[in-house]
This record gives sequence, C-alpha cells and structure tokens, in this order.
Amino acid sequence: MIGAQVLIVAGLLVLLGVRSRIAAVLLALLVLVPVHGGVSPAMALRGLWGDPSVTTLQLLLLALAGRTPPALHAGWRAPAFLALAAAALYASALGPWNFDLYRFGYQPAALVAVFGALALIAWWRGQPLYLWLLAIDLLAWRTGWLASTNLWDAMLDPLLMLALLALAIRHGYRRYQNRNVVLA
Amino acid sequence: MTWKRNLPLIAFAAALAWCGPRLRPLPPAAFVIERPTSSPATGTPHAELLPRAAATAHAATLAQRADGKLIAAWFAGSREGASDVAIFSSVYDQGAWSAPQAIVDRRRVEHDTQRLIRKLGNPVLWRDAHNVLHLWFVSASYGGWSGSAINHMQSSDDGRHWSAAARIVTSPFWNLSTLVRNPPVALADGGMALPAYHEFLYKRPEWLRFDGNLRLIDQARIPDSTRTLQPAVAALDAHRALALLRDSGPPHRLRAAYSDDAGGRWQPAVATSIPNPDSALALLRLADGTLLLACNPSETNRSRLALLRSRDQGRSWSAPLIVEQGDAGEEFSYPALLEDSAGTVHLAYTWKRQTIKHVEFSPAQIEAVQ
Repeated sequence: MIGAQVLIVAGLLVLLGVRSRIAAVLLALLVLVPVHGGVSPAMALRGLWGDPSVTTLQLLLLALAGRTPPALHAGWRAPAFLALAAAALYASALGPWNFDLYRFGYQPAALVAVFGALALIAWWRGQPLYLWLLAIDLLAWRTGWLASTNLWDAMLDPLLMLALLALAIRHGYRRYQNRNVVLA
Repeated sequence: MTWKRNLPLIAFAAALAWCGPRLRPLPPAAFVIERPTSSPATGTPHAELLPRAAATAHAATLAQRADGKLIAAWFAGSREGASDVAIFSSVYDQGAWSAPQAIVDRRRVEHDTQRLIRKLGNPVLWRDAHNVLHLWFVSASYGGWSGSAINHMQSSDDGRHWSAAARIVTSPFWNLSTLVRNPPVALADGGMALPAYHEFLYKRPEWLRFDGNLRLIDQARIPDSTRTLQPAVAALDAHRALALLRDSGPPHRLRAAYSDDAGGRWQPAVATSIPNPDSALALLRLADGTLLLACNPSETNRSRLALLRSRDQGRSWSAPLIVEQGDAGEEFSYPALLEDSAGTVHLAYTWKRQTIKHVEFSPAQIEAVQ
C-alpha cells in the first residue's frame, strides 16, 4: 500500500496545477526514492497519515485516468453529507464520549444499511457513483487485505473528508452565486 | 442501457452477499480461566537487577515460555523517546538473567511497516495456548507518545526468532494514539482481548477483541473513564472482568470498572481508595482466584512500589506490602506480574530508570500479603 502515497502525491500535484496527469504520476513516483537513512518521502507521508481509504483510492484512480465522475463536478449535498459523517466519526473517536461510532465498523450491518440506503437513493436518482464506491469498498474490506478490519477505514479517511468538504463548499458557493444571478 | 444502469446494483448486491457473514453481530465472548498446572512450590526469595542494555531502561513485561523459562522484555536506549531505543529481551534460567538481546528497533519497524518511525516503547509479552509468544509494542512516527500506534510480532520458537512487525489499526483518524501497557486476556473462542488506551486529546482506555486469527473484531470503551489510561485487566470468572486504571489527574486514585460479559460492555469507572501518582500498575489473578496488584500507592511520586491483594474480586484491598521505598526523586515503577506454572509470583519493574529489577515471591510470601 506504499504505492497509495504515490497516488495521493500525484493527485495533489494535479490539484496544484500540473496539467499533465502522466507527468504528475511520473513526478510522484520520485517519492518512493529513499532520501535519508533508507526512508523515502512516501514512508514519511505514510507515517503521517497512514493508508488512504479505498474510496480515496478509487476517486484518485478515476481522477488520474481523466474519468472524474460527473457527480463530483456539481452538487454539494452528497459531499457535504459524507464530510459530516466523517467529522462525526472522528469527533466520536477522539472525543471524551462514551459512545463510539467507530465500533459500528467491525460488524457493520447498521453502517451498510445507512450508507447502502443513501447510495441506492442516489443511484435511483441517476448518480451511480456512490453505489459503485460502496460496493468496491465492501469487496475490498471483505478480502481482508486491508490493514484495517474496520469498514469505516475502507470508506473514509481524514484527507477525503477535507476534499469532500472543499467540494461541498465550492459547489454550494457556485450554486448560491448562480441563484443570485437568476434573481438579478 | 438497462443492463449498464443496473451494473452498480448488481455489484452492490454481490458485495453484500459476500460480506454477509461479516455483517452479523459477534457471538458473546468468554474468558479462559487458568488453573494451576502443578502443586505450589516453596520458591526461594530472590531479587536481582537485570543486565543493563543501555543507559536507561523502562516498562518491563514478563511471560513464561513453553520450556518453562521466564522471558522479560523492556525498552532501553539513551533516554525514553530517543531514536536509539530498542525493545530488549532476557531469559531467566537457573537463577540468572541472560545478556539482553534486541528484539526490534525502529529501523526494523520502518522496514517491516514501510513507514517512518521515530521511537518505540511499551512492550507487552504474552504466550498463547499454542505456545506462540506475542509481542505488542508502540511506535510513533511524529510527535509525542500520543501519536503512537500498536505493532505486533510473534515467535513460535520461544523468542529466538520473531515475525515481521505488523501495525494494528485501531483508530479512524490516521490511526493516531492507541497504546498498550498490560497483557491480554485469553478468550474461550481462541482469541484474546488486549487492554489498550488513547492519549490524543483525551486519555481513556480501550478494550480490543481479537479472534483466533489475530484479526481485530471489536473494541469497547469503559464509560466515565476519561483521564485514565493503561488499563490492567483480570478475568474473575468466565464472564466477569475487573479493569484497574491509572489516573492521570484528580482524584489521583486508581479507578476500577467491571464487565459482566467478557468485555463487551463495561460499567462506569469509579475511583478506588488506592492512591495513584499517574503511574502504571499491574494486576494478576492468582491460581487460587485472589487478585494481586502491583502499583505505586502514593499521590505524588513513584518512589514506593508495593503489592496489594484482594480476596473479594477487587472490592477491597489489603494493606500494601512495600517492595521498594526510595527517596522522593527515585523511581520504582511500571510493574509487571506473572505467576509461573509452579505458583511462584514474579515481579519486574523499572529500577531508577537505569535497568529492570526482578523479584520472586514464593506462594508463602504472597499468602502473607493480608
């Protein structure tokens, strides 16, 4: 999974303005080169934020392949909901509460019911992305190849939460601006 | 077109079908209650310092190997948190401890886990029913101990060779801040439950349940336990357990919590009458069913180390039997307890941060702790 760090760096490079996705991936491969004491920048990044979720990997692969799903080009509700779900998860995991949402990820029938229902509604309304993401998250989690045995870790991670929050704000702001234009 | 539209639905249904068995609730856990395997021996009182491995040493842990010999592990280096700290082990054979051998250092953990590692600490040894020795320890890549994660290694040849270190994911936020200090409790289904704790933002204990394949399958919290850490757990019977908790802040008393379903749910933690200066403790259920506690019974420092005994499942404790009493600046801390198969109780602890000390107690001496 150290290769996942390459995808994250390539995604960040594209975000920072590297126009060629191939160039971004080739440049990102340099993070695998050990620079100090046998430690590569990829290992340093992995020490910082660990492995990304399967959802992040899917979205990065799609973005780097130039196949960013239409659902991510517009709409703020789904990204906002997912970002809030992640924020609630991290607040319950890190806070002083007796209640822990993370525990639901080990035998995740309730988790799958909630997210599955929402993904099915999105699919019914013509957005298949979230059903695809959840199906592949589940399959990857079931293989047992992931470092974590908790389904939450296959679905969400803090970097994804930040990216979804940024998307929700950007799309929400655009929508707000467009509404003002129509009213004018 | 309909086929293409239904493709994600089919994938989701297939994933659900495959995941089905993993979605169901866990069967309830039960503890394995160990019985004495031989009649108690009249062990000779014995105390000695272990050979020094480096300038400082801390956080000892004990296990009995399959061949009956005692093995201790601790972390040692130029100072706690230094990059040269490694986990060392020594074997107790015929009344003497062997020269310390490094089990793992940060370079090996970096190699095994493919990530930057800055420091190691808090080893925990445990032998399972299949005579496999397990070693858990914490590592941090950045920041202080609150940024730690738990790693696991195992040995099938009594600690001569160890598997690669594997990181255990226990927290969704970059796996930040889960640590160990005390040994696990065996479960009847072949798994184990490992008492652990968080330190990032809030200190609090965690209960990690693993199946027989070492897969983390559940984790539970102890209600009302913020500002406590380093839980030490003893199984009282097949379903009841007692957790004693180090107290990091007022009221400076060890806190206690009980579970009636083998750790699935815990009752709220309550303060005991035993003072605690924000220092680690060890808890052991002896073969006769009584409990033995090693701790620093003081509100202010770690210069006194004592044993206490409970004959009523932790509801009341004996007067402390003082094992060490030093000056205010001296430290005798981080105890580890083990009852070997002959009934001898072994205590290992940090001795002035310089090395580890080992004390043996015969059954008669333990019986005298009233």
